[in-house]
Amino acid sequence: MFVAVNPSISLFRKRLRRGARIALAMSAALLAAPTPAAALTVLMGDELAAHSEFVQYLRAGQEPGSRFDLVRLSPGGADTPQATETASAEPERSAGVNSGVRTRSLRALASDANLTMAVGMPAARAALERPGQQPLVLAMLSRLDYENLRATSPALRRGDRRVGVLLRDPAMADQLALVGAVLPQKQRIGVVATPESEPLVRELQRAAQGGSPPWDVQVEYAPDAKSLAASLRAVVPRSDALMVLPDLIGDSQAATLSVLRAGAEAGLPVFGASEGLVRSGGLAAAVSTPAQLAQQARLLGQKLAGSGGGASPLVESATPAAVRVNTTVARGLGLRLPEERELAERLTVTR
Amino acid sequence: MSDKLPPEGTRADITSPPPQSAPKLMVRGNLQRDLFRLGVVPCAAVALALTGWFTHSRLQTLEAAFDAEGQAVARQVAAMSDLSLYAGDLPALQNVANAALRGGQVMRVEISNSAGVYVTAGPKASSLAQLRMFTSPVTLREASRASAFAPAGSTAAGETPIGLVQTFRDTTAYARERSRSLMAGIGIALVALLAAWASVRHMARTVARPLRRVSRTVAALEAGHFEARCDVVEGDSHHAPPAASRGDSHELAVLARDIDRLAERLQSNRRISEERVREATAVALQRMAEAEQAALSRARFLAAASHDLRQPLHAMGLFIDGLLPGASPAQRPAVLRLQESTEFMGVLLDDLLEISRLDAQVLTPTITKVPLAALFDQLDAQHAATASETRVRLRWSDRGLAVRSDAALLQRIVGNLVANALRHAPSGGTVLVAARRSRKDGDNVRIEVRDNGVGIAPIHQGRIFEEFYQVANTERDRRRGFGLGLAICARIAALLGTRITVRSALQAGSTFALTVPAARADEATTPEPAPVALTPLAGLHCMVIDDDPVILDGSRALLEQWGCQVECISTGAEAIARLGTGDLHFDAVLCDLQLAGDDDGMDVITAAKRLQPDALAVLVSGATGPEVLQRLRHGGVMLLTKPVAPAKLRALLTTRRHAAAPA
Repeated sequence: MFVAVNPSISLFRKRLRRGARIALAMSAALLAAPTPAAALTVLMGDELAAHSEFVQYLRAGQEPGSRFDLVRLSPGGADTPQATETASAEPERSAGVNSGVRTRSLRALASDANLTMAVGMPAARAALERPGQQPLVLAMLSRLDYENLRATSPALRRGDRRVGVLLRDPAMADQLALVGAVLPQKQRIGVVATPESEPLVRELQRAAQGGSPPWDVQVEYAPDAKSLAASLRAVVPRSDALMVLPDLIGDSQAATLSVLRAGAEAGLPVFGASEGLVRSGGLAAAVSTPAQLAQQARLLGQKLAGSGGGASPLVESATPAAVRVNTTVARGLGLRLPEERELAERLTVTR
Repeated sequence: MSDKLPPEGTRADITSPPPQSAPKLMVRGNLQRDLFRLGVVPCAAVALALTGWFTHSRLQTLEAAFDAEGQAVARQVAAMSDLSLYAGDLPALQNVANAALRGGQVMRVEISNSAGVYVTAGPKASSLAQLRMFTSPVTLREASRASAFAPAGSTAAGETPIGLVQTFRDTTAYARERSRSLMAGIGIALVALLAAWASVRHMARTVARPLRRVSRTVAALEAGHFEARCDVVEGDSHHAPPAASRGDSHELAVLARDIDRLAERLQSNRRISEERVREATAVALQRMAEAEQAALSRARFLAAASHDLRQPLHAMGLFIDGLLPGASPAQRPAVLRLQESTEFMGVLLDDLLEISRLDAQVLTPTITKVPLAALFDQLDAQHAATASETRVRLRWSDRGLAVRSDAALLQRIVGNLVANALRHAPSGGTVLVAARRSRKDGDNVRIEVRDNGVGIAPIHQGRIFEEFYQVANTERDRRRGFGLGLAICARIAALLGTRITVRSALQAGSTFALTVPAARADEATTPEPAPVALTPLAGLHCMVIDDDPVILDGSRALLEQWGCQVECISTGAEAIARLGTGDLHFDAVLCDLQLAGDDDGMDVITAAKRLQPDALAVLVSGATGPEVLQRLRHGGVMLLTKPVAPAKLRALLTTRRHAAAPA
């Protein structure tokens, strides 16, 4: 027998990033141009494709002549960095992303840098544990990563260092805005969550309450991402649409497919935050891209540099760059949806 | 039940039906073929049935597996592609279709829905005949297979097909496997049949061979070969004790043993019976020899007695005939009584000689066509006077028939029977002699002599053909016969190939009958010799040869009385010498058979025939022995038996005179 694996979700991010890479890189470069020239140190703790793409867009958006250092940490996120890449952005742009890499000690790097940007959870944890007062941007974290760091890392609230956090997923308010744009007459949003998703659920509920009229959020908790059937059975009859949160369920392909199948069977549209979900049966999603995230991270860094500092970190959700709609699903559900571009514009207006 | 039974009284009257013989049992072929059929036919039936059933089952299983596999792939593809089809995710559908092809069970997969999604994988088949299609609707499903995700009141979206999956399987391999299964089934059946055939053939031979040998042995015994044996022994008979129980033995071996024992007993019985037969045969042969000896002695005695009696009687007759003309009137009655007695004795001796001659079987009947009218006329002439004397009506009815027989012998028989009937018919009675076609066989003629006399008691009917047996002549009156007539008739009838039957009852007369072959119409009748008129014998030159001077004297006196010239000679040599002188011519030569010394009358007669061919050569003999008669018959000699009746001699000489007269 054969086993068919639906790779739609994993392929989704990659293809989305490739498609939007060029345009977003150009816009990021334009936006970054007025900022004063500052050295940027990027810490990477893993080799995820999305993170690498994000770093590429960071490098692409670096001012000419400014300093860009890429520090690759060991896979375990140990204190002692394995390698340090230091490069001048201008001369190396034509030579390629990884050309002209120099290595130097982390200690020496830290003393000269203006902004440090940690990409991903391992790099974020390593950066927080590192001494220093330079502004620190923790990029490409999920909401749960951030909550985890907040719970486990006291360095996040050090008074002597300004820390900004850029979440990779759009804000719940944006998601609800998309739902409102697609299903104007519907109010009940069904969500299946795990106990770890509690912060997300709170955010969703806060965003729902801010809606006009307020959204009716039906939340059912499943013990884990593998045991969704009972929760789905409970939440589907009470909902007009389902939403997949970027939590353990959203990160799990099987769990996401379960939600999609439940929605399809019950004739409910499913919303989410990834393009893969839309391809696999979701109705629509507000998605962000690495290029857009890179630009937002740079702006956050500038924001940190200009701010006076504080004990709590500055947290931003990703700004949705586009809206993806599955027209086949819409046709199956008997919905007539606006164009993706029009929906994206509506989100922008809403924000 | 009981009310249906007949009452007691009637039940006793009911006789049980005779046991019906079992219908014939018809068998065909032979035992070996029957055993062969008995073994092979069930085996063949079972083998064919089992093979057919298993092959059918196997083919059905193959078909079901083929279909199930194709259907399973279709269902699996449908299951895998439900969400992708819902989402219109063509790459994912393509992946699913390609993955389905990788399994190799199907050669083409098509996923489609009404919204225009159409995903295919695998080459488009050129010939649909080699493909079998399986379809499965695509429905949205959930793991627990419940419609729980559907909102209450809404139709279950999961039940409605959202698309269709079609898989195509190539039937080439399936058809090949099917053919292989079929051939394997047929092969197994053939092998089973072959094995059954071989084993049953072997078993049938094993059973039939001893039976055949037993059958051959029985046939040999039936043909009288009692030394034949079956020689069928059990395979382990030399190990088993000889007194093994019959239950443990092979039935055929037991049968063969029994038949061998039967053969031994038959052989032993045959030996014993042969021994007994040999003994009995020896005894019978001895008795037969004794009987033959006795018969021979009797014939010899009769011949000797006849000869010895005839000799003096012959002489007596000659002298009495000589004395009669010269007898005085006072002597004449005595001489006549003497002549009568001599005639009786002559008749008696003639009868005895007749019987002796018939017993010797020296007479050969001369078969000719005999018209019964002529025969009856002659007999009527003979017996009319007697019938008239006794006042008995004598009737003849020949109906124009003719028979094939010896005229003289037949006349003798019928004449004897007529004389007998005339003797026993009452005065005023009737004797009827009638001939008619035999009722049993049209080619025969039955001649009956019927009288209305006193009849013969049944107790006597079986003995009347015995010699000297007379029913009602206890006083032995010679004028009523000697009781030899019917005995002679019976013998003559036997000589003619027939027999005389008698039907009689007391006071109801008697009927004697004999059956003789009828003559054909075109058969020529032997002309009757013209009656010879008696002519005088004066001047006839006769020679008489006898060693008895009394006979010579008597003969001379009689012949000279008839006017003949007589020369008497006592020895054979002298007679031959006289015959050979050449100057003497004899008209008749009468010679005694037994001459003095070693002289033989036959030699004289032979010489007379040679030397005097025109002379009548007659041998006179009183010997009536079979050997003598045979010898004379072979010599072609004319014989006059003693005592010679003078009338007979005169008649004989008259024929000589008649023959010599023209010369």
